[in-house]
Amino acid sequence: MASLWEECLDRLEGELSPQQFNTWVRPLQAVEDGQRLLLLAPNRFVQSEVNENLAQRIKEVLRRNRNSRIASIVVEVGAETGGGTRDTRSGTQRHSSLRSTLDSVPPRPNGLQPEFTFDTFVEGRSNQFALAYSIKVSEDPGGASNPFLIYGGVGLGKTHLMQALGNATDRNRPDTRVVYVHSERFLSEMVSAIKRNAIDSFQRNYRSIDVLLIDDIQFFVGKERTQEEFFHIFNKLHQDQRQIVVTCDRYPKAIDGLEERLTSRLSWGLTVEIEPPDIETRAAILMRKAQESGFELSREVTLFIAERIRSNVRELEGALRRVIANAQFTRRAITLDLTREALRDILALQSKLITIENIQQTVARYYKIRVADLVSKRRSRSITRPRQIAMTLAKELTNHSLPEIGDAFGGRDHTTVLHARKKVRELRDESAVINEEYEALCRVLTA
Amino acid sequence: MASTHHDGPEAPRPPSQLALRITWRRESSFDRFVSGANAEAVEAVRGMARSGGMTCLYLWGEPGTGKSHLLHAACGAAAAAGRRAIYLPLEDHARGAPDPVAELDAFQLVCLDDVQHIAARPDWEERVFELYQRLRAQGGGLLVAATCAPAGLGLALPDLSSRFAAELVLRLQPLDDGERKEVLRENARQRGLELRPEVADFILSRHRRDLHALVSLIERLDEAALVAKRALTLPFVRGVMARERPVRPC
Repeated sequence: MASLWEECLDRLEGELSPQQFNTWVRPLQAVEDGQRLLLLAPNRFVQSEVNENLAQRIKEVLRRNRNSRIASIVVEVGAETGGGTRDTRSGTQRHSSLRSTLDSVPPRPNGLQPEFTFDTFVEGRSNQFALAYSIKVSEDPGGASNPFLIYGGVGLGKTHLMQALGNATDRNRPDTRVVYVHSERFLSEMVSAIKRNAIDSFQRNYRSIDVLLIDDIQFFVGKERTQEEFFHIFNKLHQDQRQIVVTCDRYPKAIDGLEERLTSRLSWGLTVEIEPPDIETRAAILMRKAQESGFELSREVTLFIAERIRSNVRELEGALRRVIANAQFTRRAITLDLTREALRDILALQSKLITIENIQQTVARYYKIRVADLVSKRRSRSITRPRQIAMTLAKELTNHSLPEIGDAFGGRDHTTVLHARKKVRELRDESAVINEEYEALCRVLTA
Repeated sequence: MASTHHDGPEAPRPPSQLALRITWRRESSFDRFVSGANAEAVEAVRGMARSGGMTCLYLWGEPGTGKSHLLHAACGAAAAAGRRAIYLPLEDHARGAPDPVAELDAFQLVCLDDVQHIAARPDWEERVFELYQRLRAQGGGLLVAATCAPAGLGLALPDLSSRFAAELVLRLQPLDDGERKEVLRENARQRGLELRPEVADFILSRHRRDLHALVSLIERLDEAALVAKRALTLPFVRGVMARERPVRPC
């Protein structure tokens, strides 16, 4: 029997905008408690939003339902869990477990994660061959493309394709034993098998697999025993015409520390490369991932992110996550302004902090003097001017106090730093050249 | 946090399992955290501590922005919600072998502080990567703090840095002067001291301004006040600070 809350959800989904529904209603868990409906919110923002703006509406929806005995609604922060596992009893589970793909869904014992499918893979010029052949292999495992090797840089979708291949095979051929394992996991299973004196059963287990998906074999580099064990498993599976699928972050032959007999075997079958996505693909990936999280991105926001984050899909995901988190926290819509603000740190690539030291280095390099000059007692103008500018930048761009800055510039008094700031302000007003130099340095340091 | 508890880099390390300093400071709660511009980060950490739902959260910011405090608070809140939590300061642990990391997946929330210390340590990087994978597979959470963003860590393992970059990465902003004064006053108050506004102003304008330095100054002022049986007046504080060697910026 569909619960009251499920009916209520269906109504609300029709009445609210998708963004409202996904942000505020979907995360709620409902517990019917006699005449009271307890709504559990994941955090106090959802709690207060629901209390302030949605509780009345929910009440009305409930009142319209003849079977409803609910007289009051209570919204609390919390989650209904049973001893650390997800509660699968309540009818609300269907809705509360509609997690976005940005959240991880625990994989099944065979290592396959159901959310990775060919349907959810965004195709582009950079990956269309890899996708086409993955589908082919999933239809004919152990056939001509054995082993099947996918290689390319981190975060380009190798794991997604490999998992999708596994899921498709698993679905189409239920008798087939498909196992996904990350190389790191393979390695630690092997180490623990050696410790337990159980390497035979480790080998037996892997030799009985029909489709073995082994991810990121660059982790085998320099690990001779692991390569040895894998080599034997590979030979056995290949001989029995069972499918081996391998991913690697480079072309295996280009890797030092992987044995030649292994890399040569990996090239027996079919090798495909995934390249970094082009801008259209990046935009498509962003829109897809946003939708899966229940958000719509405007074209300008999508392009803004896609144009700036180029390296790989993981960084796109990180950026999107940041934007969504910020929108949820500030309860604002995802506009270009919000996006720009939320991604400020990521886009500025300010991965390193601005320190007095790097200000001194940057300024010294800019004026072609030495850092030692900046902190020296020398008072010639060619040194004093850059020193004053560096001190001013230190005050503007770091959180250090005047005495600390003075100290870092050869033990000068804090009044010297004050004087430098005043002087630089005057100079910038008087001279366009100096103003430009100052701003250029600012840009270099904060870029 | 400043490591005042060990004898120096040369001190012999006991076997890593025994050296595990993993308990969190109960006094570092969310209630005692002055959020300033970091309310979003505080809320994210709090949510992750209490109910999970996120594989990994990466906090970064300069020293003294409250990273360790938030990690400790997360452990406390997770434990209060009945979840198994652990706090691991890598500044200490990364000097030894990474073996203990292999056991951390028994926890539902793992807080790794100062993760920049594992950079260019391939054994450590691989262990942390493995931990990330396992926690992800089990639905556990990894809360990481560092002094720089993932791209700036200089990790040798692109697999790990790209995983961090795919997660929610939040930068902690330093507090402004008003908020720093609030921290100073609150710290003094907990020690039964009154810190008058003009004294707080003086400290902020003359001392290193990151919170570690400020809080440790309050500690020293507390001791000095106890010995001298004096209140924290401006002349007294000025005197104590003048006797200390000027602190070089970090």
